[in-house]
Amino acid sequence: MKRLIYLDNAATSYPKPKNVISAVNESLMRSGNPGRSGHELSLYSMKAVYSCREGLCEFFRFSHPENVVFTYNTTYALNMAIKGLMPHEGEIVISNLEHNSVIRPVKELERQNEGISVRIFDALGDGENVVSNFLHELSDRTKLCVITMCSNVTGKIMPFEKISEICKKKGIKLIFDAAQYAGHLPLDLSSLYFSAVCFAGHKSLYGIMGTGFCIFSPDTQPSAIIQGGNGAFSKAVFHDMPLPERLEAGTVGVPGIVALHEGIKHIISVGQNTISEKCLYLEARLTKGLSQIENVTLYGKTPEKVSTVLFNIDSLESEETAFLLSEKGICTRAGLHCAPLCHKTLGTLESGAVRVSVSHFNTGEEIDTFLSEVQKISNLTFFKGKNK
Amino acid sequence: MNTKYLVFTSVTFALRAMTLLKRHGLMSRLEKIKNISSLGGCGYALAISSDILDYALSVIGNEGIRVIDILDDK
Repeated sequence: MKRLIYLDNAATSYPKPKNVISAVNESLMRSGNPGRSGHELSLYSMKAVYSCREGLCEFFRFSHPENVVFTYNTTYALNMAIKGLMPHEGEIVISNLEHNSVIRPVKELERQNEGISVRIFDALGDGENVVSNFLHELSDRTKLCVITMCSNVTGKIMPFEKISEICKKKGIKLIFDAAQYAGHLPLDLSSLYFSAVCFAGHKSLYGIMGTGFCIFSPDTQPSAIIQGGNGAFSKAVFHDMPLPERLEAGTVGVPGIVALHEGIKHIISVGQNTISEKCLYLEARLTKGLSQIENVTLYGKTPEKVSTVLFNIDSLESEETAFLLSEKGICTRAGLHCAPLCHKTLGTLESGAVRVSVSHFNTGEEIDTFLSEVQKISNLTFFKGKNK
Repeated sequence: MNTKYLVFTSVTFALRAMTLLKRHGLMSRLEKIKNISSLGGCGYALAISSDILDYALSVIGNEGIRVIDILDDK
C-alpha cells in the first residue's frame, strides 16, 4: 500500500496503536462467548469484557462498571439512551451541531408520538450565546436534552459543563454525545451531571470499528430497546435484568472491547495531555496554513475546539477537492458529515465542505505536504477560472 | 474447609464482587452453576471458602452489591 497521509480521524482513527492490533489478534485466538459457558475461553472473554468496563471507569473517573454498556457504535448508544430514557410526551432539546445519530432518533420519536416535540437551538456562536440560546428553548415540558460535547463538523467544543449544571438544577435528563470529545481532552465524569454519555470506541479512543459504549448515571434506569438472550435468567420470558446485561442482548463484540481497552491504555501510556497538545499544535498549523492560501474559505473558527478543521476551495465542490487530495494519497472527508443542521447554519448545505481531522500520529511534515497540495489545487482552479 | 457459591444478579456484579474481594485479599473463583434449577441469576457463581463467607458478604454488601443466593453446591 502506498504511503497515505491520513487526516480523517474524526471518522475513525488510523493507524491503530500496535498494542491494539496485538490484543485483537490475541482475543481472536482466545475468546469464547462471554456469559454463556464455564469453559476457559468463555471465562477469558467475560473477564476481558469486565476488565474493559473497569478500565473505562478509571479513565473517565466513574465508579460503577455495571453502568458501562457496550454497543456497536455511538449511533447505537445514542438510540439506546434516547429511546430508553425519553417518556411518551414532552419536549426534547438538541443543538444544531448534532449528528444525524441524534437528529434522526429524536425526530422519529416526534413522528411516532403526538406528545413529543423537538426544539433546536443555535450553538455556533460563542459560549455565552450558546448557553443563552439553550436556556431560551427550555420549558416546563422539557424532559430530555441531547447535546454533543464537540461538533464532528467544526471541532467546536460545547459549553457542556454549563449545560450540565442547568439540567441538574432543572431536573432534566441529559444525554451527551462524546464521540468527538473523548480521547481528545480529559473527561472527568465524577464532576458532571448526566443521565447518559455516549462514546465511539474507534475514533480518538483508538479502538476498532464496530465498538461503542454508553455510560449511564447510577440513578438512571433506561428501558431496553431490544430484547434477547445473553446467558442470564434464561428461564424468564421477559428481558428484565439489571444493567449492563439489560441493554446487552446478544453476543457483545469481545475483540472490539479488548481493542478499546488497549486503546485507553495507549492514551494513558502516551499521556492524554501530550496527545491533546500535539493535536492542537497540528490544528493550529493547519488553520494558519489554510488561511494563507488564496481561494480557501475556512468555516467555524473558534478558540474552543479540538483538532478538526473545515474548509472549501472556492469554485470547487467539496467532494472534488477531497478527490483531488485522495489522488495524492491524502485522506480527508468531504460532504455534510451527517450533520445537515450545522452545514445549513454555516451556509455549506449545498456544497458541503472538506473536513480535516488529525490524530497524534500525524506529523508537522504531513500537514505541510497537505497544505502544499491544497495550494496546488487552488492555483489550478484559479487559472481554470481565469480561462473561462 | 467447605466451598460456598455466591450467586449474583448478573455476571458483571459477580466479576465486580470478585475484584472487590481480591482487593481485600480474599480469593474467589468464577464458576458456571451446574444446577439448572438455581438459574434465577446469571448462571455463574463465585466460589469462596466457607471460612471467609461472613467477611466476604460484608465486603460485598458494603459496596451495595446484592447476593441473591448462597449455595452449598453449585
